Amino acid sequence: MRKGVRDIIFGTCMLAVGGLLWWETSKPRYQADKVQDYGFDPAFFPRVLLGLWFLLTIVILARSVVVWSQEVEPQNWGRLAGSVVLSAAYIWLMDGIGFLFASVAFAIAIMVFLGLRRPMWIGLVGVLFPLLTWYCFVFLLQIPLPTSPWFVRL
Amino acid sequence: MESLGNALVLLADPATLAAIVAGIVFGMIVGAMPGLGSVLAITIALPFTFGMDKVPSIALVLAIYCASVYGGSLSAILINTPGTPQSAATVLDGFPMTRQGKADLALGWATMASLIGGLFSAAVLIVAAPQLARFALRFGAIETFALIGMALTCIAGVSRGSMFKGLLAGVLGLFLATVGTDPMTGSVRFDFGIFELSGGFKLIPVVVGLFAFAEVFSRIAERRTELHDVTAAVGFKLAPLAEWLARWKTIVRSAVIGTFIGVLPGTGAATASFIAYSEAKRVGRFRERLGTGEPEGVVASETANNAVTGGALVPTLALGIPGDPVTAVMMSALIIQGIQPGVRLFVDNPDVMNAAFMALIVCNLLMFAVGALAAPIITRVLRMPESILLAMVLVLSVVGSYGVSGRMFDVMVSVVFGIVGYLFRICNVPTAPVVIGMVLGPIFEESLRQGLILTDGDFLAFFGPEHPIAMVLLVITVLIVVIPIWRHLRARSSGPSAQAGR
Repeated sequence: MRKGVRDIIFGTCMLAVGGLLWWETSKPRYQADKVQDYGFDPAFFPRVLLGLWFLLTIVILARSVVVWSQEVEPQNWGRLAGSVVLSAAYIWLMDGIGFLFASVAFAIAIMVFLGLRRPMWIGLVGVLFPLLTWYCFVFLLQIPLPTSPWFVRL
Repeated sequence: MESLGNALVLLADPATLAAIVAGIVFGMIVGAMPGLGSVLAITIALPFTFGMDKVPSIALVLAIYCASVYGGSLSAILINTPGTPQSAATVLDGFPMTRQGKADLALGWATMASLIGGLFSAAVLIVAAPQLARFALRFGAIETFALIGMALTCIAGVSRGSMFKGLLAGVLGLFLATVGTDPMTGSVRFDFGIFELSGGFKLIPVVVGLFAFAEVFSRIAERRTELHDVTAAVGFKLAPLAEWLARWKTIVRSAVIGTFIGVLPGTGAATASFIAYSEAKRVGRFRERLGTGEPEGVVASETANNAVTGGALVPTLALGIPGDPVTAVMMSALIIQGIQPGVRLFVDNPDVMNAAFMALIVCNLLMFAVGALAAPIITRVLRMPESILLAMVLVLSVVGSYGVSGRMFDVMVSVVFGIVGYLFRICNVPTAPVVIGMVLGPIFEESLRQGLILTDGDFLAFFGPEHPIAMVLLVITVLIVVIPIWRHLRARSSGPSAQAGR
């Protein structure tokens, strides 16, 4: 992909998000209440920021022609998508089966996904690291982590 | 004196000393790993501070900060790859020394130079921060607004990528801070019907997402190779005193450069080390030998980058304005502990701050000891396969974002911001201004609205003769934006004529 195309996509997305946020500020809940807000309603500052947001985005879009011909470093989108899906699955699992079991499953899965092929390392790190982290937080630092439906602290 | 005595008692607590040692070892390891760096080191250690007392948690964060900057030099010297950008200039002479079979000596030079730089800047911090805070007590809402505006513009202006993208990232950070309850009217803004958003975004999940998750995602997507192997065993050796005395001018110059650059918002240790290196090359005693394995190059770079640590803490602690993402994350660690950096910090928490200053000195001294004893062992961690490292970072990142308030929502926020941070990297948009904008957003909005109330809605009155400090800050802000644009336009207009002339 060319850098100019990248900047146009980025700028267009920022304009769209900015437009949605501006539309949100036009809702009645953001309207002025002279007694409460001393003449500056809750949408005042966000609108100032959105004004700057639009201005800077337009400059970035205008500048995209300067970098038009340069190429963006190629990315491995498949690996990225895989890691995002695994992370999302990790969060979903953690909510259901608790931190420890979900972390063991995730650590093993992500190491295998990233190409590690040493069973001893996968087993050791995949089990010991989540176990150590869980023990350290729950027992030493007294910070609760998500638990499973089967055990009290696990 | 009583406050100093109380501070000593707090520092002598075994938990504090243990936190310092643990922080140094952890910081050195993460700092030595190419590409990880100080922000990630502090971010993934943040959850450990949740359950700790104030002084041990501050000591832990300070130790990680100092040691991660130093740790970058280990991989720079041994494998020709700086662990952090701060140590990029160390490669120029550090690795040639390794190739000459003097790796042990290079580690000795780097460790001692880091100690000197760190102690010098700690001394400046101790003297300057309370004075600056005292001066800043005169600041009203309008001056605060102008100061934050200048700091944000400066940070965005010197960030990686274009200045406009940096400024847009800063605006985005300020906008994120508006999500949740409006501090002046109590109205809820931009919650989109999601209950968890009514309290706003928590800083830690956003930081974890933008730095930790985004780093992991981009490493995975860039298809980087496995980390380098440290093949040869290395030791640690200090050069004779006469060698150090021969380079004392470079040491002092680099310490001053590093501390001064640290105080400036947005510049950072990488800039400091390169400026110190180029000064050594310009006026240093051994300037002809620089680049061929001359210790003066290692000394210049390492003294300067560690001298940034204390300098960068001056505006963070005294004004509550972090100059870079590392100090922004450190500031959030203080806020978690109920300590608000800013002009009242030294008045409200004298014991804790004195203990923190002493902890910084102890951190630097222990960093030297740990470096001398364990650097050769710690460098073996560089052999760890990247897949293991990334798995560990992800698990700790999830714990970090969950631990803030025990909500799965914050973990989801982290992953979403991880994707956003990754896309920003692809688009060459710096993420540091987002975090700093988010930290400064509430006080920026409050000072703007209070200032407008004071001036009956007249924004131009902010910069009138009644507010000389604000006027000076505004002029600096305008110059920060205008000068690069003017230079760029001048270069473009002179480009074709210069080519025609050739």
